[in-house]
Amino acid sequence: MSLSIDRVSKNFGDFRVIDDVSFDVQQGRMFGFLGTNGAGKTTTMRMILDIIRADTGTISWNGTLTSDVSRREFGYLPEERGLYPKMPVDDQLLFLAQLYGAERQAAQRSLDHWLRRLDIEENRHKRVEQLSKGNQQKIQFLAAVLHDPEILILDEPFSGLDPVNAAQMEDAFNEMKVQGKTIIFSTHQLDQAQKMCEDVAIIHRGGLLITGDVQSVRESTGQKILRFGVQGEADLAWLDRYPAAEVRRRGRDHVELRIPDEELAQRILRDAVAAGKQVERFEVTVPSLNDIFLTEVQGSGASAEDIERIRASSSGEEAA
Amino acid sequence: MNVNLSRIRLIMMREWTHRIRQRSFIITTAIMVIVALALVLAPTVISAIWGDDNGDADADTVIVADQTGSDGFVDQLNAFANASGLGDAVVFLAGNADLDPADVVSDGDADGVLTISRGDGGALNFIYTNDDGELDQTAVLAYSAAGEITLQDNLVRAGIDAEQAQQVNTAPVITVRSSDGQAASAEDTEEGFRYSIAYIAALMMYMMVMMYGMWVAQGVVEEKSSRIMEIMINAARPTELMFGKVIGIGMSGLTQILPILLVAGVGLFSQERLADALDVTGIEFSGIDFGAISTSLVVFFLVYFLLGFLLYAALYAGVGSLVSRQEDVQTMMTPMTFAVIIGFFGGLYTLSAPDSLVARIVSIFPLTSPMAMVPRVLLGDPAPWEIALSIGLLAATGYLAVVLAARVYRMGVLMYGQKPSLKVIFQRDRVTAAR
Repeated sequence: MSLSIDRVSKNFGDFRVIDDVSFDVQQGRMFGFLGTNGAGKTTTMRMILDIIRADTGTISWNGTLTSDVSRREFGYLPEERGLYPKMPVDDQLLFLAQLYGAERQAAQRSLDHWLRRLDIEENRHKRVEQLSKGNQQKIQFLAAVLHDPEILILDEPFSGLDPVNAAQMEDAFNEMKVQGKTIIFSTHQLDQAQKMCEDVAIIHRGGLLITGDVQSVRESTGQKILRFGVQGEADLAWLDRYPAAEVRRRGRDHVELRIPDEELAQRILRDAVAAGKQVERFEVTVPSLNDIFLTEVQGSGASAEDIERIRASSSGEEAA
Repeated sequence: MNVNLSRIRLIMMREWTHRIRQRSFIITTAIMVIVALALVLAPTVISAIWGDDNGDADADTVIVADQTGSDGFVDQLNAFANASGLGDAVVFLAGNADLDPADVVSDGDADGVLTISRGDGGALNFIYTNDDGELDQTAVLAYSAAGEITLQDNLVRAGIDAEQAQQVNTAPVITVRSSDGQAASAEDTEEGFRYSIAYIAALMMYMMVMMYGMWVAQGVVEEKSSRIMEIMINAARPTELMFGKVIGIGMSGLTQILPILLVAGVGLFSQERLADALDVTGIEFSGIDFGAISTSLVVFFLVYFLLGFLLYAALYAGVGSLVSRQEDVQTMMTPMTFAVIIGFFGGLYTLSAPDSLVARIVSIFPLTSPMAMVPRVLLGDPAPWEIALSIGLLAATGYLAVVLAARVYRMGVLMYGQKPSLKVIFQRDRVTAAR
């Protein structure tokens, strides 16, 4: 039971947008589709929905080509948000749900539920253009779920949401997951994906870099991350003695290093203690998705500019 | 093609209910209804305000003061008025022989007094009195009648018996002809009315296609600029979207046009009563014969409206799909506007020569037939196969146009700001998927 993307390629003119991409999304999983802007996330999602068709390769849901799967099975939140600006929220959502094939009564019940759930009940009769951006996005999300689809394809669902709205959206995702829905969402915020997803696929410049469950992806390189702090020393210049350890960031009270294995971390700790230094922080973790992404992108020969952009888009402190 | 009717119905109902609830729609319709009513009633109202204020709606009455002692003159006068076609406009009534004409006229008891007496030689003497002494229509009638009565009287007095005198004195039969040799007749009035109906039908078809076609184009561009297209295209097939949209907007158009026609029709029917109420004379209503608008004609008009609208609306939608911003709609629409205008001219040409070769061609060619065939049916004599071919071609072209427009629309979803080439439009399954 899965959505299977099998050796899919797509050209726009002479430009290869998607190059031989394959991955599976298991039914009922929360799946993060990751990559920088322009990596091909939106194109792949459109191909899953059969809005555009792959040049080669197939995309199937439980063995049936997605082009032959009933539209009712799919809920779609496009990257370019779009609703009828002058139409009232409730009319609009009921219309779209019915267009997807839902019964009016069921859609109505679902609408009541979700408006309460997302705390936007007072906007029920307002025209969409009268709503704040965050609320419009919630409505856009409802447009994707009211007809009770099996697969949710959500393109950058968190972009432009404030923390409160983002948290509500996350809750909504989890509710859909509890109902057994398959959720595929794209994002370029890798720390968020790491927090929410069970499985991920990372694509870059149209090619798949890595896919799998979050833990195995993070462990895929075998490398570790060491956060190391010594009282009274900010730069820890002596760490240069260990060529295998790559300093990734110098924080206010600690340094973050990428190390090939746990053994090196122990050696650094022993050496520091032996030198009579007072170690205040010693933390060994698996790399974050962001680390993996940077490693993979560097490995795939990305430009310095690409890497800079990825660094800038990831937030400061990564959760372990 | 596998098309889901309930989805078409949903899209159609959304287009319709959403549009007719908009304030701009309600206001525009109200204004158009008022303008239509004003145009229909204008002649009567204007006459009521600026027309002759002597006017009463009834016929002029002329009281006959017969001082000759012989009766029968009143009957003769009325018979003469009837024969002259003025029986409704002037009525002669018998009055006292010795009434004072000036009093009667100034009191307003009658519009005129005709005093008949005999002179010394026995010859008849006529005096016609009215309020201003002018030779108005009634005075001229009295004058002519007096001539005939005098002639008859003279013959009788000369010893010819009354019956023979009557024969001698038969009024000439005069027919007024127009230069093209056609007699002015009741049939002609009806023909004129049919011509008006044909003209109005072509004009309405033209205006509706133009206005509501524009709505379709704007609706498509709105969906594109608000980016809802991508959701719509995911939920429904482009052909369904296209049919639903075109039919829904067509229904909105009818929702606007029908109240206007209804009010205008009621206005026309109540003209005479209104004229009575406002005391207006001199407006001819008898030419309006609603018998010329048969049920089959209405059905005919509706069929051509629906099919013609389908064709033009699909073309408008296709062109709208190529535009990304509302501001560009007008520019892109120029070729469409030309096509509609050419169609309208085709319709106008049919009015002047309904069975000419050109008229036969334009009444069969799909882009012009909606505006040309209805006038031709009214004024000319198209063969049944011509009508069947015309409708069949129109329906087929309309359907093809919708399918093609759906494809362009489909492709427009993915192309913002760039112009797709014809080649891309006709490519199947490349940029566009088959759905």
